[in-house]
Amino acid sequence: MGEEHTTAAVQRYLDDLAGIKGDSPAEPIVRDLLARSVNRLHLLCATLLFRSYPRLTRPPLNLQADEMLSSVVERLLKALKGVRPPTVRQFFALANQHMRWELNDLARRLDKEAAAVELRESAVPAPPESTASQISPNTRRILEAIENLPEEEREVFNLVRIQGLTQPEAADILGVSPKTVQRRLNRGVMLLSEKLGDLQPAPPGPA
Amino acid sequence: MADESRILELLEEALDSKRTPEEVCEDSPELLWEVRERWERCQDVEAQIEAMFPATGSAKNLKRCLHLPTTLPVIPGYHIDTVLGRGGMGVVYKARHLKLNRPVAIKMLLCGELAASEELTCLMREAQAVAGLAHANIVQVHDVGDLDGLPYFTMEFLEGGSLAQKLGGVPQPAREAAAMLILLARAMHTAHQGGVVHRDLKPSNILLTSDGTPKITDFGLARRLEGGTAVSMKAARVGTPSYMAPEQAMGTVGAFCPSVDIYSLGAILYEMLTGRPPFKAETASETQRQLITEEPVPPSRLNAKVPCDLQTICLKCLRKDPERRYASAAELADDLVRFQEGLPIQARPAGWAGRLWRWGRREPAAAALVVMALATVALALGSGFWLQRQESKARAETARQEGRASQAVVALLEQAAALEEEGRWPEARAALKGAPSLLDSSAPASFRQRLREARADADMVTELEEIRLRLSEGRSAHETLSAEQLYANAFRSYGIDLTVQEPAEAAARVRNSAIREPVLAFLHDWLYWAKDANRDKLRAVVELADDDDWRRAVREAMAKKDVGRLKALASAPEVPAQPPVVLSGLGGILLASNQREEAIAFLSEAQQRHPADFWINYLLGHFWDRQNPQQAVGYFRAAVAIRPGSDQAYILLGRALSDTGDAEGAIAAFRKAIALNSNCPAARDLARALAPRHQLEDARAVWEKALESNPPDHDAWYGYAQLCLFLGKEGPYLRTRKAMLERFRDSASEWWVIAERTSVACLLEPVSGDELRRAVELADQAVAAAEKTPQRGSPYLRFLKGLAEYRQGRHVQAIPLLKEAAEKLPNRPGPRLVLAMAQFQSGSAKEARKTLATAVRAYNWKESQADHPTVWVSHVLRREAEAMMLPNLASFLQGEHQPQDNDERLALLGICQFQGLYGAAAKLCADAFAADPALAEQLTAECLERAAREGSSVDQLEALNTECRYVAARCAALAGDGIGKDGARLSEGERTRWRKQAREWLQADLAECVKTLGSDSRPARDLAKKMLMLWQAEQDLAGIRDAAALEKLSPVEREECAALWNQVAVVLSRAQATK
Repeated sequence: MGEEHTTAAVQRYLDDLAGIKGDSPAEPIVRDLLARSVNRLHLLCATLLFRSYPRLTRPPLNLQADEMLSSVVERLLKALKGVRPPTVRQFFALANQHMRWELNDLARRLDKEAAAVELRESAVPAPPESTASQISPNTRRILEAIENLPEEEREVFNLVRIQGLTQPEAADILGVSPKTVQRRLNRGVMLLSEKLGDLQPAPPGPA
Repeated sequence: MADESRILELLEEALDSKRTPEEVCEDSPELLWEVRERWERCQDVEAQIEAMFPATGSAKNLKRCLHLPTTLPVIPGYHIDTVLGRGGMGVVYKARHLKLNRPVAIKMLLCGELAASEELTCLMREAQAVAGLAHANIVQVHDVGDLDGLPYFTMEFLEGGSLAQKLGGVPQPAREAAAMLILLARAMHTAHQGGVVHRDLKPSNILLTSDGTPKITDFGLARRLEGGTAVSMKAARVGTPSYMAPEQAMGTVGAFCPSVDIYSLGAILYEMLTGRPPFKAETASETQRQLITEEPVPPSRLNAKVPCDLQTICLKCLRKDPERRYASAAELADDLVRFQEGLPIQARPAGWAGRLWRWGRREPAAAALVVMALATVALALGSGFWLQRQESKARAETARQEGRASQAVVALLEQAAALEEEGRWPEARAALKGAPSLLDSSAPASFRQRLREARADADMVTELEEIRLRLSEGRSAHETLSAEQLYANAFRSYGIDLTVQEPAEAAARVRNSAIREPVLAFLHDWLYWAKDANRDKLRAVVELADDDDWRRAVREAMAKKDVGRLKALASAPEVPAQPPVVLSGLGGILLASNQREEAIAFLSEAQQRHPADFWINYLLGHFWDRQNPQQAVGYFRAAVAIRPGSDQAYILLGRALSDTGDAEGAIAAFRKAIALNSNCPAARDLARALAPRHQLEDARAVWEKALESNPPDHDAWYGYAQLCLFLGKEGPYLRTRKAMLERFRDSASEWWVIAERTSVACLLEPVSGDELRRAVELADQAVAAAEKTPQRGSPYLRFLKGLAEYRQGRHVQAIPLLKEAAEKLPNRPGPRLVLAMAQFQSGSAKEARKTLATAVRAYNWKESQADHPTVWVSHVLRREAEAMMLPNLASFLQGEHQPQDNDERLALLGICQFQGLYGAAAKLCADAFAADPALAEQLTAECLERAAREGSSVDQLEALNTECRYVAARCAALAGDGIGKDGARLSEGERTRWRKQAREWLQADLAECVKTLGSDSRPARDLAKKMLMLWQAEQDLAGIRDAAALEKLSPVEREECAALWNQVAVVLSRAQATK
């Protein structure tokens, strides 16, 4: 689905969902929504891998995003398919929760891998861009901090950052103004910056 | 800790508005350090999050700095000392060039890895372009380099700080400002010739050397004129709103032309001349709005010393239309040189066309349209940007257009919904109307349909609100359409038509409406006004459409006229859950049903819950404006703050302010109301406020301008023609007469009073030919129309008819009509004045002179009292009668003629008072009373009788105020105080004599009052009391009453005065005690 139309798409889902009565199959709609979330999760996992664990993508591990992620995505699909959320908002709440779990899980596994790589490479001088070991806990800490945000801020954060909705779309789903979404995001950042005050600066990305 | 919450507030503001901590902390510099630290932390966290969870489709991320280093960088060849400042794009360090051992400034762009590489290249190329500009007034770029991928420039370091620091809000001498501007304009011309537009010129980007030479820096936003690189439209909008050209704020194509710099140069000149930039509001968005919609205040208004030519030059730079600015910075510099050398400048002040154009801009609704249209364009341009890169060009184009249009529609609907939620319907409506092109855009049909519906909804609520406003003013009482019809028409246009629809159908329309709540609230208003025939059907509709139990109970109570139940419901626990539009509706209904106490309690409580609701504040102001104007002012202030476009709220605010004695504030409010809407009665209010200051000509000028738009309502016209004649402006009067005869020729069918007022105004001076015919026709129509109303015998109609007959030369027919009018309107000199003229013309000169004396003697003719159309009419007719019947008027005024009898004496009282000849007026009275010892008593009795016949207390007071001996006493007191034209010429002895005379006359009146207070008649006693209270407050008597004035008198006289006022006080307190 074209992302330029997501507002319209979400609107359509809303309408369609509202139209679902009794046992009529919700399958196509849920599949659409799932596809969207899965795509997003895919992107987030890839980002996580390439930004935070760049060395794992290079020799000797040569970790490739797709093979790494297919299992994660598989599980998300499975988790969501059984439940048919009655509203778009609830769908996203559920999807978010699973996505955060999956990301967390992935990060933990990658940390382990990274630690192993570091161990192996400790004998040779580390290349200058070697920052993975300092960075690795950040993802999990951020996820944890997001988890602990107040309800309003967390929901907005999840929709925009985890689901990748635009602010007007998030506003649509929550039934508030985009300005409110922006304010909540900013307030979230303020709260996170208090929590994560000692966070390490972000590493340079892949060359 | 108060600081903590303020810090969080500022931080949030910085994050919300995407401004730097420096910008938001402008007014709280003490918090800057803390805010900046936290802001940086937020930026860090956000960069982290952005890195891990990138937001979709937001171009801004491409430019977002990945991180801001916390330690000083190490750049080979330089030693970095300290951070000079941070901006959106980077950081500036103070450093030392190690080899040359000279101080330099290093600007490092902190766009990290996420920054698009072409963007960086582009910026570097521009930096190089600036480096190539050699000009003494441009900060020189020494070197360009990069440190680990972070590009930087080194520039000369200037010790004198920035122009912003130097100005510090203080206006500079005009010559100095011009001299500096010449340097800056020449420098910018060089840059423009080099193909570089600065785009962010402002005082803080003008650095000063130690000797004060200005140098332009920070070409950070600069862009090459012919540059072919794609730059996001967002970049077009960067800049500081206060100094930004409007086209830049809108993000239009012109945002990259040299004219934006010329605008900014003008803004800098403006600030140098006045101490403040042309537009500066509390928030950047408000500044931006002003920038786009408002004209700058001419500098000379803020600083009278600004030379006219320099102002013209400055305003030419600040023109909204880039084409109307100087064509080049060199031209600006040349004109400034001409100014310096005292030669004629080339810039011209805005001509009539320019002013008209700007006037059009000032139309608030139109302005809102402009803003919205622009905002929509900007929004549309800003969205869907990423597509460009990803899809093939053709597909991207279609998709983008569609996406843009959809986004624009959604944004617009969201904006409107947010406004509507706050009850800001007029703004929502203006916003929705502001983008007509969206209806034809490529947005999906369903989006466009939603937009169309939203517009219709906003129209509907605005119309309903307008009806409510009219009803609250009692304006519809005289209109052909009753309240019920007004509502019926409005709802019919919205698809709710009781005459053809079944209740269920109409109810379904209500239920399905997106504006169900306001519609329901107004249906209740309608229900209140509905006549029996329709009430049941209407109620059936509302019952079907509304599920709310509380409202159902309210309707029941309304139907049964059960006031007790209604009161109980007003304090029921369900009330807080009702939306404000329902609350204000019920409040209005309670007020209209005269349940004032309940209404006030109900509305006050509602106001506490919804302090930002227009209607609740408006109704509360309305409630208080008679009893406690101070309180009313508070509510009306709130109302105008909530709805700055409401001329009605401004008028009421002005009236309340006027009642509190704040004439300045009232005048400002009336001016604002006129500016908002020329079709309103505010000009009359303004005249009323300006009359005591002898500034009626000002009011007339404003009024004249308002009438240029040919407003439809008579209320906007009423009084202007009268004022013109009163001020002796024959030309404007004749033009207005013509216009009014045209515009209101059918007004009798609307409301007879309009026809009556118009025809009186048109017959106010001798008139002939076609205009006479039309005015008489209109008068006849007014009389005929009134025949069908309860006011058919109105003396005003008799007067009008008499005047019409008189103007047609039918004196015999006029006389009985005018006699009847004079008899019934004892406080209005008009009918008697025309009667006198008619009698005079028909040969009864003696009778006529008596009539004239009667008309003139009992009226307050002071110029400062001439604040209302009826008063202006009286003056105009008095002058006509005087000219006709007092042949010795001129020689009397020159002191060469002594009046021969009491009729002449009393007839001359009017002009004496009007011209401020109080000594002469007092003498006329003294002579008259001497010539006829019974006259004074007789007139007092007459006056009291007149007053007693008046219905309202205002009219009673007016009658008392014009009691002849009291008028005489006031004139004597004024003369005795040396006030007025002849007062100053009086010797001290004469003044003392007049003061004594004033006291004697008052004493005589006091004796009368004492007599009356002892009588059995309650109304007579009340009148006497009122009269004495009037004395205590009368300004004219200050010279023999107020402590400050008494200071100047001899001890004996002081005592006499004090004795008089003591006596008044004793009589009054006794009267009040015996109530």
